[in-house]
Amino acid sequence: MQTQDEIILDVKKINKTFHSKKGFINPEVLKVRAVNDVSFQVKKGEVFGIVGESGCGKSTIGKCIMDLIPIDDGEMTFKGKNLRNLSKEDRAQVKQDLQIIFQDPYSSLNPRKRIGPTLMEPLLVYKIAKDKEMAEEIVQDIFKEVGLPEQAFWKFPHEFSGGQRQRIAIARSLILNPDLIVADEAVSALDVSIQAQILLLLKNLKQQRDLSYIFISHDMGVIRYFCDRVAVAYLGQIVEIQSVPDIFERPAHPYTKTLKEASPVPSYDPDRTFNVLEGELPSPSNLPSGCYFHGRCPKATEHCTKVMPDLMPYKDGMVRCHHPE
Amino acid sequence: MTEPVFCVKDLSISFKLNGKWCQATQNVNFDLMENETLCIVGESGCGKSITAMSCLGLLPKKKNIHIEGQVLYKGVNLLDLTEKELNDYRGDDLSMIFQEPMTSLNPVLTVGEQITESLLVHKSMTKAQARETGIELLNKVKIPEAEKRFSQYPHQFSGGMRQRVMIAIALACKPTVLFADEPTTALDVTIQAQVLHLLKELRRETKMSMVMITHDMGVVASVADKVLVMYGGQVIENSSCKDLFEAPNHPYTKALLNAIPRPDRHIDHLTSIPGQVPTLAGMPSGCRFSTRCELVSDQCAMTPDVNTVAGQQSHHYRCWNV
Repeated sequence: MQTQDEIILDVKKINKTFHSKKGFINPEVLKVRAVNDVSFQVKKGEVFGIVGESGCGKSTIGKCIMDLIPIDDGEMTFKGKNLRNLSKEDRAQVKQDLQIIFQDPYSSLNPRKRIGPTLMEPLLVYKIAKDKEMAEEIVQDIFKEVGLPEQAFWKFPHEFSGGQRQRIAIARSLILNPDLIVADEAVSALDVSIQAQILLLLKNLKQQRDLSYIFISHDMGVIRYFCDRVAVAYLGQIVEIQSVPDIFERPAHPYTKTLKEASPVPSYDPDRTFNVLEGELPSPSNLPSGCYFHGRCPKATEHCTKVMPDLMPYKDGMVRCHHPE
Repeated sequence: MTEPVFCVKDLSISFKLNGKWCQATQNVNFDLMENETLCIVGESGCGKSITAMSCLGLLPKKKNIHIEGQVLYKGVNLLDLTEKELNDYRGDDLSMIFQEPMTSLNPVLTVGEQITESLLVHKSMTKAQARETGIELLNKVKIPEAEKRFSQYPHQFSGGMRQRVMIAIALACKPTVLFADEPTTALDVTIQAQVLHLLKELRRETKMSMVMITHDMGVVASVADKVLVMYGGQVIENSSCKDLFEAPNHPYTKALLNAIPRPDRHIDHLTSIPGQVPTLAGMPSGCRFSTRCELVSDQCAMTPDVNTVAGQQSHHYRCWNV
């Protein structure tokens, strides 16, 4: 299919450095490169995963795409439009087509406002609904779609369980009929049985509405089940991009391999050993020379301690390593 | 057969909420042998943390909390002891690691002071001896530059290192039983692997027994000898680790195992469990899983008996319809 290869989002060499001050009298400015030369493309109808551990910059990448954090340099093109240089009309359209779901839906909902009116607001702002009645109708339809009861409309956020609140967050992201949804750890805070419900819902919605997702997670199991392609992030950089079958069967970067082997598997195996990395995670404000992973990498050579590898095409994907598998 | 080191008998805990008694756990039983690891697994609100807390007498003795049953350590029922008597056990024979290493470490005391506290109290060591043991412990949990780290404060440590400090504190007096409440939940997977590996090594060295509370079936498979699966305050299945993963019996255990997205293989279809985990105030009567179970029948309105799986002496489950 030709539409399969249509690129909906193209991220090119984006960078974001945060500055923080340490100390009081002679403050020392710490630079944290949260997003470091990140490039990837998301195809239409695809679930693109970003996986990594805390502090690897995966959430910052998501927020940069949503323009919640301004980037320092680089380029982002969404549906052919340059996200950094939008006209007023284009901006309004992009704001509707790009949506985000956060990890903790409770802190992203206004606790003093009922759910229905919260969800109606964007419909009225963007004049998609002519009046309140029409807006209410659209909201109720979406409730049905995500499996929320009709009565939810007049309830407050605290009256819902975690799983239901996540359904509300999904309903809110759908309300403007987007093309691409950034799901930032959208199922991480949920119990296993509820997590499965939400994953199934997201999968159904994708098929019915022809959505694309950027799915940010730290859980290799969830990534394997839900994504088509995945980028592995480490200390602000992308170290590998491959299709999900390849990344799990034939990981090219040593870090990807470690990440996979460290993920606990729910089946009995008396001979299981833990693949334990030597060394500590470097501080993002004081990065090592050469490849950032060399201090913990079993394959590191002297070359790795001096020269930072580039993200290079490798097999069907990309990898940033001097010694890929 | 050897005697169990630690034993919980018919433990039921109830809370008074809005004037109504709600049962948080119902008739929890388990035995723990020397050098054995028991995992208590379940989703939020299933009563797993409450069970561990009551084992160390950490639930406040208040009018709105009612505890029945026995928690036996060396023949002594810990539930009968006063706070002062309990302190002789806590941190010495019995110790605990909590989930959040940042909130359970005291931010205004150095790591060293916190590690040596129990040594000074229980083992009547001198400060110099305690310092030496403390540094040894930090080395054991693989904190680099232990001597320098000993006099630093918790905020100078990373998350994984803080959790390892917690382990060092818990192990200071060489406990017989270690309770670990979600010790790796807040950690990244590579750090989690480090901590689980460390716990396994230490357990081999010291022969201690461990009760680990977790919600992650993957963690259970990596560390457990025996497993209790809890749901809505009841133990619905208990068995050896091998039997649980290879031949689960209770419909909840089966459903839970099928709802986990796996890192080791591709799955086409994930099975979800309909409905939600019941709240404390809205616990169904009879079998507590009945509202979400696909095998539900009229009988499920009564609490099911504990059945034993044929041919597997130590594999029990609570269900009418298996």
